[in-house]
Amino acid sequence: MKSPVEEKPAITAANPYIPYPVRIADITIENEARDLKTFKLVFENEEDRKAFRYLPGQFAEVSVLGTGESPFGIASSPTEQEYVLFTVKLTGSVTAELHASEAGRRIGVRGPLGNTFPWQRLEGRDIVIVSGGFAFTTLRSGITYMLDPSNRGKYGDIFALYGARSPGELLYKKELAAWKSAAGLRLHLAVDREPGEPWDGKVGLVPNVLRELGPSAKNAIALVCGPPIMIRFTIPVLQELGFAKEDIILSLENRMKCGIGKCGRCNVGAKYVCTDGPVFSFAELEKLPPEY
Amino acid sequence: MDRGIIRKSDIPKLAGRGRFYAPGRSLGDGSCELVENPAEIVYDFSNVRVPLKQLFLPQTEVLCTYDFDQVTEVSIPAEPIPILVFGCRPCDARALSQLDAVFGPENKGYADPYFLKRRESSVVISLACNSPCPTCFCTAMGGGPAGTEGADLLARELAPLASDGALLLEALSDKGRDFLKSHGSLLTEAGPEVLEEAKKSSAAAEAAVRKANDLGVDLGADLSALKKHMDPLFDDERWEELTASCVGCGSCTYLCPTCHCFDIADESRLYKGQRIRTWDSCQFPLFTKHASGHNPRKTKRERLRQRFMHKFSYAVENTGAALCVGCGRCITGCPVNLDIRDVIRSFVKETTREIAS
Repeated sequence: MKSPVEEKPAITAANPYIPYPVRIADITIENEARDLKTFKLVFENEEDRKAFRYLPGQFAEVSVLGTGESPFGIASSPTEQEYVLFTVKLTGSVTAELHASEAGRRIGVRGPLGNTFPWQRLEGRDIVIVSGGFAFTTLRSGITYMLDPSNRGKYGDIFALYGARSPGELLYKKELAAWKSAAGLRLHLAVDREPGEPWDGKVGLVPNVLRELGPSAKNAIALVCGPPIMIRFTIPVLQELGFAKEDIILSLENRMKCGIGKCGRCNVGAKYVCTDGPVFSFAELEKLPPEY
Repeated sequence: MDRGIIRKSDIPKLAGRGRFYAPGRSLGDGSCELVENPAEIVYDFSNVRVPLKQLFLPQTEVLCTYDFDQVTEVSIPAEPIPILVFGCRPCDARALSQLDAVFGPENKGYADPYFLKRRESSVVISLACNSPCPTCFCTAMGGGPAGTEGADLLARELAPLASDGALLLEALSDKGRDFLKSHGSLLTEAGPEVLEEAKKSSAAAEAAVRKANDLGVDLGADLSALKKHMDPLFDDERWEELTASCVGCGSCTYLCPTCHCFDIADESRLYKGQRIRTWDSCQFPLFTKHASGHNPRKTKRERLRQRFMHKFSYAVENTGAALCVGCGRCITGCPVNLDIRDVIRSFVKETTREIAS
């Protein structure tokens, strides 16, 4: 029993099943429905924090000892060095346990896992971000990363369209407010239908608003995250705008356990969402069976 | 030393290095299982019921234990006890090498320390089959009754040298050679003529399997032979027909020596708990069901297809090995007589017909 991870960080490195110990430093309730909370996690050990090197697009298993673990996209950016963020929707047992937690609780994080948005390919290109609902998490990571002064010069103009059912369901309100005046970023917010409250954003479903705004496909790559129905109707719009299949980048989710390509459940054809993904281009996805 | 002759009565003397497992019938129901008592070894068996994978990927194992009273401490289990397996069939040993490709670091860059440590600390001695069962199709999968993959030593039964019979032990790996060296006192020299004689009965067994179960495919000659037949027929109606009788019980996956899909779950009481890994099955609807209720493989059709596609297409693409050794357990264990050989034949036949037309 007396071999705590703290004394033997090597165990964690050699054993991909063992989570890093982290502490919940802060919890933000994100929406009016109160079923989305963002957990700010701080590593208990400095060497673990350094070992947890990731890029936007990746995910990790958040581990609540005694309950289990679940995979979530990493919502923070590596430029936010002191903590990692996960936005969690209240759905099953692990998420219920997280939602019932208070700041200060010790939990675990296993990762980072999966591939990243194609950052090398994105260099020198304009970026078109299309997102709906709470799938915005890894794009919050991506936008924060690209707006960081150390990265801003590498990427062109960022167009971002982010939609939700109603204004109260939009995540990261503080960041959204700050991004309105960020240089190099044009942020468009949308809600599905006319809200019964003051609203200075767009009204309409994401694919329709995207068609109306019509961002240029010239030298641009699109990053798309959202519910399946939004993705289904967004892809044709992007193609109308002139985006090649290779330049439409999507992120998949499937049920997972190990996260390291062994347990056999997240595969889509021969590709494993946990190790070959979660990020795929539409060109790649088109070749795979629709098992996601 | 590459080979030597050992008396069957001396086999129990090999035990002593950690835990010993060999085929035996101690359950009394006629079934053959891996047993720990060397005195119970039997030679007149077709195969053990539960495949060898159980020793390296146990049905249930603890990944870590923890104590979250005050401060959380996570401990991983101690080093595994070394295992000596004597008398597994070559198909089961070959399945281990296919699992090595899944759990080894070359698969997506992640090594599974639990499986690999058990593999490293074990010695596997397989026993060549002289009388294969009617459901054996190892030769179609690229193996054989005296196959050498996955084991450290291969034992072959020799015509009785003494009243209790004798075995020819042949080293297949460095570990196997070291093992022979350290047990030299139990061995007598085996000249090339002994090996030739033993190979003759293996060749006869192999010819028998080929004759009984010629599936029209040889993965040993072309690993992608089935993949290229199956990939274009992913949406074919035959999956519906093949699935019609399936009850989704998952027996095939539990009995399969290469099926390795697992679940991870936490069990806790008060402030102590453990994270455990258990065998799971792609045939169960919950296996892929999202928390949202969405299920990417929502009917038996998709789940059955997944099992065969994983074995003959996805695994070939990802790890360079198919996930089937032709042991036939899924045939004998299926409650509705679903037969993997029929599945294979159906694809081989279809493609041959397409090429002909």
